[in-house]
Amino acid sequence: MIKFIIKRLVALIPVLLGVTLLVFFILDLAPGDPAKTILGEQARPEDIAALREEMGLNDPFIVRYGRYMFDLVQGDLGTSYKTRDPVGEEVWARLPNTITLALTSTVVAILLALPLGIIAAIKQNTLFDGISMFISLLGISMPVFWMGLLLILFFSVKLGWFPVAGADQGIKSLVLPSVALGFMHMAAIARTTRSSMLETIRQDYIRTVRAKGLPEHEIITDHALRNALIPTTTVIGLQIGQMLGGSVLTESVFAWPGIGRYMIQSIQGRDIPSVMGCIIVFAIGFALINLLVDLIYGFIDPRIKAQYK
Amino acid sequence: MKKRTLRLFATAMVLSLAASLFAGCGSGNKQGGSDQSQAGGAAESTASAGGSGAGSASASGKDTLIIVTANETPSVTTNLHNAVAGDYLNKMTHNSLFYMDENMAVQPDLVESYETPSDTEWVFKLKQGVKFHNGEEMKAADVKASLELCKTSPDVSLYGTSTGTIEVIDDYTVKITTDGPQSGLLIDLCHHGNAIVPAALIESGHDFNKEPIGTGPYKLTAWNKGESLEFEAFADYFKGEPPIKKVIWKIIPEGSSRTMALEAGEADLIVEVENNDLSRLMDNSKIAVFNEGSTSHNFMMINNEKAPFDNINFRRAIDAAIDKNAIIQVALNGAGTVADSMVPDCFPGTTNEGAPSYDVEKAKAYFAESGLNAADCGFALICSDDTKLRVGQVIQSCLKENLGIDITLESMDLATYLDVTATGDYDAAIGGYTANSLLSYAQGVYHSDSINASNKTRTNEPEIDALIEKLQATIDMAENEKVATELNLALNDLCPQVPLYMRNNVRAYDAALAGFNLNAGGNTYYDWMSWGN
Repeated sequence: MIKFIIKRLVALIPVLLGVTLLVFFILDLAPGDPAKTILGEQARPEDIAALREEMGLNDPFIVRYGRYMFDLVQGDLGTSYKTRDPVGEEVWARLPNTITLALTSTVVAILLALPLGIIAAIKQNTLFDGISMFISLLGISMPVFWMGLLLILFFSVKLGWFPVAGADQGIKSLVLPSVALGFMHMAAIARTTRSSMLETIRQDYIRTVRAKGLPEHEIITDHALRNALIPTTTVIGLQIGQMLGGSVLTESVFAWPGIGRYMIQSIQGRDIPSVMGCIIVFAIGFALINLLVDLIYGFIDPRIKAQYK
Repeated sequence: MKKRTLRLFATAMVLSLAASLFAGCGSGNKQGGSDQSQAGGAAESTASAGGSGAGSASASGKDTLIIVTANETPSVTTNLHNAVAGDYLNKMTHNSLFYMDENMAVQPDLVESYETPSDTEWVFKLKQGVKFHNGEEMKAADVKASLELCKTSPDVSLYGTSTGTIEVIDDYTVKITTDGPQSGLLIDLCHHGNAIVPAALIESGHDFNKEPIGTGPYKLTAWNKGESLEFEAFADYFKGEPPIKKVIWKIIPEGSSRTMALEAGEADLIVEVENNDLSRLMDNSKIAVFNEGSTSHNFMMINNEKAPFDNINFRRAIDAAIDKNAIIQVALNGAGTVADSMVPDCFPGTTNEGAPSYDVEKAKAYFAESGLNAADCGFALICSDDTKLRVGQVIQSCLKENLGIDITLESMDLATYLDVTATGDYDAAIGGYTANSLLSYAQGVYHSDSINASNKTRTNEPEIDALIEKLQATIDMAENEKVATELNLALNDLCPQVPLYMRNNVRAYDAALAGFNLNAGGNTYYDWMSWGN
């Protein structure tokens, strides 16, 4: 198992190298000059030239990339063009908020999706199945910012239960963004759980345990669910990865100070070091989540665990 | 079997608990992970969500003002940004030698008095006993170091060009000798780039972004990146300690969320009011809305070097063919006024005379005079945000209906827009320019020195350049006004762009907030405000 983990972590190094090179190259090709963007409409030619020089933008691509990588291997994510602060500080200030939101949204999504998916499968083609799938359809098709605004309007403005925006009131601040984001991600998990459960409960071994006279709830929880959870776990892992970088709209509506919004602003401002910093964190995060998902497979299915050598 | 169920259940519970704990840590760590400027200043949370709400502030003895804004400043270091969001904050923590009052008149701030022995010499007597936040007294050496810092910083050096040579005469006297007469000097000295900071800290390489030391009414106590900035009143402020003891700036990017924060009593003042929410806020008796003119001149910039925009009658024709009132209704929900003049009409000496205004018959006549064929006059109009896209749609409809010209709308992100318009690689774009004086506006938008930068129409007229330089060199205010009119008339005749509207400054705030002020340049002085009375 440890060998497997080490192998996967080592494999991360070329992935990160490829990601940095690709993103650096794409940002370099993208139209828009960081110096002009920072100085805005009122910029003078001499100020643009001076700022480009200060930021090292006049050097060739390979020199800038080499300089970036040299700093990166020493743990330095560079200095933001826009704020002139270390990117590491900017990213670390926001990362806990992003992870928190991703995890709590995942909990919300799982708590809603698993029962919906399981019961929809057991009660296939009944009214409950229809309602469950309608709820998951709603989750997938309702824009998250609209859902967010509705939640704010009802729970913050009308009832005053939760703050409208920000992250300064602990768990109270976390509830609405987690529900909005979790509801959206619930849909995919519920649908996957349903189809996976349907496939599993039609297997011969389920028919066998049913013939042995086991109670239905035991058949579902002890025999069917465990096997059905493998595809669901894959989807949950992917959803967490998406949430790490893709909750920009939720962060904007709820003014949640996460890394997604920071990255979008950095892209808009052509703040290459900040974008690179975010991408590296996302890449590492995504790879670690995938690793974790693979390890969880092992716990769910011992046959898979046996292959971790 | 039961054991397995139990194990699954326990795992789910542990995961949920871990997530909740993490959530707790996340919020608790917020301060720790944030960029705190002063030790001990950040721990207290004063957010009043669920508290008094709009309208009930005075009754609750409130001493905190919560301002919500769409954008986070890139920096609070006065010489390292030219962002509006940063300017608001710098005005709280710093003072300059002069400031612009609510009527946009230049008033002495750190200066006690001044005299001009000649057209190029300015002698400033500084106020005595003015303290920086670190307890040091502000002296002439600090002024010299601060003004020189502005000159060397690309972000703000535009405001350091008029200050020439700076000399310290004594501890409280500074002399500036300009390179030729500079009528814009005092206005440049109002800019945050020329804010006064301690010379010793500049020399020691102090990180002003972590601890911005100025002489202003408030001190920054915490900057929670991406979330909020917290300020506390400076007890030794030279104009007296501000009545409101704490000010928190919260960053809420979404317009509707800002409105709801004010309605729910979580915020006291919105800086950027969502146009669609304006009427709802005006109907709320607990909320006051400020909706008045600004210096923000918005226009359709056209590349005068390219056909058909190199034809003066074509420029006049499209200017006269656009219904600017419709634009204000569609794009701004009425929060603006029609702009016909080629420069903001709020500055002394400016006039609409000679500028085309919406008149379809005249537009057709100009177009006939241009000798152009509508089929050959199509162009691409760049719109870099949603408001500009709505403006573009009205223009598209007007030009098609009134002149038979087909234009295409091109969406573009801000960085690309700034790049292509600065280099002249475009036909037309919706843009705007905000300046605190006509000189600053004209230098940026029309002087040939600004081509490949802020002169995006690429106007290159020696007569216009000469008039701008004359405006710069005319110190006498009455004469200056005459030159301003002369310049304005010449520009109106040339019609190098299509002015559209002057955007209003709109703010919404708790009606209990007294002393609210806002000048046309967008400056608010927070130390003038109080709760109740």
